[in-house]
Amino acid sequence: MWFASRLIGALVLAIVLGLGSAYVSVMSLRGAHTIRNGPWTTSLETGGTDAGMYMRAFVALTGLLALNKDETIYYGATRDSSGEPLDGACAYRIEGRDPDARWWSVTLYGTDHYLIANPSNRYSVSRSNVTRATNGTFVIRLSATPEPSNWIATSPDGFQITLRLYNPSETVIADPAAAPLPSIVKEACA
Amino acid sequence: MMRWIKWSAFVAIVATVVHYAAVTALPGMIMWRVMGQAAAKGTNTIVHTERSTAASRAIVKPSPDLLYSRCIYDVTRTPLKITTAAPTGTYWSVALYAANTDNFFVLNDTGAKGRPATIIIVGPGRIVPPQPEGTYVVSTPTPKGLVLFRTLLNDDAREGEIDTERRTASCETLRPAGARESM
Repeated sequence: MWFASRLIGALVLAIVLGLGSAYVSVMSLRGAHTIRNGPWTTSLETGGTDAGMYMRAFVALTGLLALNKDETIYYGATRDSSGEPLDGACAYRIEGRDPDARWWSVTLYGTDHYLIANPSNRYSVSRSNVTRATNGTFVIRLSATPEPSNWIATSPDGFQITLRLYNPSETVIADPAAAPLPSIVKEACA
Repeated sequence: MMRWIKWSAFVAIVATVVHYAAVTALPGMIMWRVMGQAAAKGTNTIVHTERSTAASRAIVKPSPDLLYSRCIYDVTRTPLKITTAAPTGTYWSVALYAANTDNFFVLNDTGAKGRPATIIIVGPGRIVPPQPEGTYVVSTPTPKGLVLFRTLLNDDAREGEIDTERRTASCETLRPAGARESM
């Protein structure tokens, strides 16, 4: 009886330690392989085939079925350009010029990683439908209140932004941290 | 004292085994879950999904600007023949994922020179008879996996046209099966 209870206790402890250390080891790659570009972060490991077992597990958890970097680079943002976390009670503007890629899109997701429900079904703005100023720059507004163009709906529960670059240029692939990307600027808060 | 050392060693060994087993198995388990859900609609056949909305829950972070189609493949017995669509004036790609999540092959509209392409997926250690010139023959690292077609909706006014064009893609088993080769 004594032996059995000790054995069960030891097995439970070992499983907890094994699973816990596995999770910590895998998720610690987030910092080690994250490339920062202003408020945007990305990883070139996503979608690759040369990943080790830890990186493969990390990609499975965070970027399943993503394309490799030659096809698409995925930048994410959970903070604005001043480093503050994105707040669902605030409006923001994304401003800049077209990223150096064949095609790009800015999409908002809720904290559950799904598209944000809104009456206008406006989830993204892209190279195809963005309205630009005469000098080529654009401003995309993120808010709960609809606007006629260059607008994406936010969620009061919080949101995150994904910037997709399809067929990015060789320059972007070589140095995604230095690629000119739009900034994210906080405006009014409710 | 000796007893505690033995128990500690036991815990360390089991924890190490659990650690490596968990890390190794995780990608396959996640992919198995995704493929299992998708396979409910058939294996080695193409399934076209509707444009993503806020109600879409099949995958996290779906792109609302893409139309997705997919095939769950199993080339254990016979290779799979994929015929891509070639919607005009927009980006499209077909990506092959192994059961361990590796994206081992991608072809897009530029690579295919804007024309429909034929891709044969062959199981590990298998070959196929000679195929017509221009056919891509790709060896999958795992017999089972997933093919994901992406078609960009770069013009809302053309959504119906692009949707119709992308539905001409297909997945079908290729018979007869190739002979075994040593690899």
